[in-house]
Amino acid sequence: MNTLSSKLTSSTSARFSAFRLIDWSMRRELWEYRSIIWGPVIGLGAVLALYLVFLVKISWLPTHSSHMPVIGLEELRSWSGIVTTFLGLIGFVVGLHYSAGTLLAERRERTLLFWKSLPVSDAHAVLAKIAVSLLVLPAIVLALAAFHDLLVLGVLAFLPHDWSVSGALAVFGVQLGRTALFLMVWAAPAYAWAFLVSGVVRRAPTLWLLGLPVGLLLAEHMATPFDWLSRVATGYAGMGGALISTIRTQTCVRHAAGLPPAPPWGGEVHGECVQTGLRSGAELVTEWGVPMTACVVVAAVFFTLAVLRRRRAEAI
Amino acid sequence: MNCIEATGLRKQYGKKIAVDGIDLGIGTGRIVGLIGPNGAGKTTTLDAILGLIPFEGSLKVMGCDPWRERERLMREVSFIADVAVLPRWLKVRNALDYVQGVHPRFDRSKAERFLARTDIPMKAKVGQLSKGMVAQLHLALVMAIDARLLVLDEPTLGLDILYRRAFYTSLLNDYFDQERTILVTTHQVEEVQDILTDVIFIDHGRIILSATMDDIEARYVELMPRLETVDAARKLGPVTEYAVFGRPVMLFDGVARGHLAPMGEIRRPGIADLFVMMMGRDRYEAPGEAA
Repeated sequence: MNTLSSKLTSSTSARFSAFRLIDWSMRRELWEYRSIIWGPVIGLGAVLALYLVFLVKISWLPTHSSHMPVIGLEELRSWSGIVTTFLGLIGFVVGLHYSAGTLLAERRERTLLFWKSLPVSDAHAVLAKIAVSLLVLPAIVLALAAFHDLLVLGVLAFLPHDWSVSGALAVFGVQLGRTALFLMVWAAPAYAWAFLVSGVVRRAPTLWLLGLPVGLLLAEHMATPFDWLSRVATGYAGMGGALISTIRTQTCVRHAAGLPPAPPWGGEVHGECVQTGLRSGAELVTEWGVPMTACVVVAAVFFTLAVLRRRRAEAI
Repeated sequence: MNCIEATGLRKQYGKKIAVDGIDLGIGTGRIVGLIGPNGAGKTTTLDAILGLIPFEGSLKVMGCDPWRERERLMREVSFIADVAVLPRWLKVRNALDYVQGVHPRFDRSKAERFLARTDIPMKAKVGQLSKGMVAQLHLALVMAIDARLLVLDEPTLGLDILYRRAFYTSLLNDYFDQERTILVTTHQVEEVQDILTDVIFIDHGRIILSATMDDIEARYVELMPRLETVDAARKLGPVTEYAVFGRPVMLFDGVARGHLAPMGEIRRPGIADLFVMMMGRDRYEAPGEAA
């Protein structure tokens, strides 16, 4: 009796840290959902393939090198901005798809019964899934966007241009920062809602994911005199659009463009641009501090409900 | 200390009562068969024991409340809840990696030694393996975990006879010892009855019989009387009688073997026959391998 109970105490004390459990749970999510990695990679691959086609095309022009126009910071910004926006949107679609599928798939494939047979709590398992959608996926998208920016910068630095490298890096930094906010804060309530739907419904998660909010909006519009929900929805959509599109970085660029051409490796353009970048960051906080806090709170509520739901989840 | 201790365990889904106040006390070192028809409450009972569902009443497994302390419990308890719950996309090697990553009591080399005796390639994905191989892989993972309690819910359903036999042989030879407890449900009662130490019959969410195999052997005797002794045997009051190849077979409860032996052939009754007798013959005219 004594030996048995002492054995039990010693064995129960052997446990792994939460970090280790979440780390391994994240790895297995990435084994399962290859699209988290390959979606954004394929997106960038498509962009690079377009470049290749373009390069082949201009190499046929007889006098391309002598008539090369000077590439301004605005062109660089808008070009990098388009690609960053494109990758950010791919990231969001991949993340939403993952969030709407993961908790449903493990119930439907009955693999839940395997995951639950291991000493990983539901909170740890769902936290790992949240970390995949709000940390791993944005990190991949941002790394690819940064890689693209540096590639473009590396090529253009050898062509005629009127901006400094550090100025361009500052522009990229602002763009990447906005994309990070888009994928990690703005997307959080959308993902969290998708998690909850995925943990509750038995089929057609996309229908619930979109249908319920749209249905609520329609109901409000038709059956009540209020426009509270539609204002929230418009605000949310507007915030996402403003974060992911790169219109705001133009302030920085105009400042930069108003200045005389600087030496290629540094100078005033850099200082001006970083300052403006920071200012637009501060503007962001004052303008969107409240909505962003709301995003975090709503996401936290839905994620918590998803954890509670997973505790009771049964294979279907 | 019992490794499973339940008092008044109850679970209701809407209006349907799945488990209707059962008491259990399963000691260490036992191999217990939980036997009942579909919808009897077997799986609900196991789900409660494994911390998969909330329940009413009191239930302690390895001293834990399964619903509140599932993570802690799962360091002590392994289970195979169904055949084919391993994810199809998982590579065999990654399955070992993951369990090693999250389970402090997983012995990877043990799992690898077991897998080396099978035809399962480490590079394969679960989806590429046959159903029998998936069951072997799951068993390899579970046997390499140094757990005190192993719960098996229909672990061999749909497997062919060779895999089924090998499954239980491995379990007995390479895993089971006096410090472990195994709780198993299966429809293929004949295959497990020789390894069980205890049986629990469950129907309509209640326990009909809970006894050790030794008790059962001491209490129940099956007699196939000779033609001339049939009437005499009937007078001793068999609890049930059925025909095998046209000859009557009678099941006696608490009648001494010495009385019966001279009348014909006596045998230990099969768990399945006992089960059919207890559940009422009318419901089970054709017992067999239910799906």
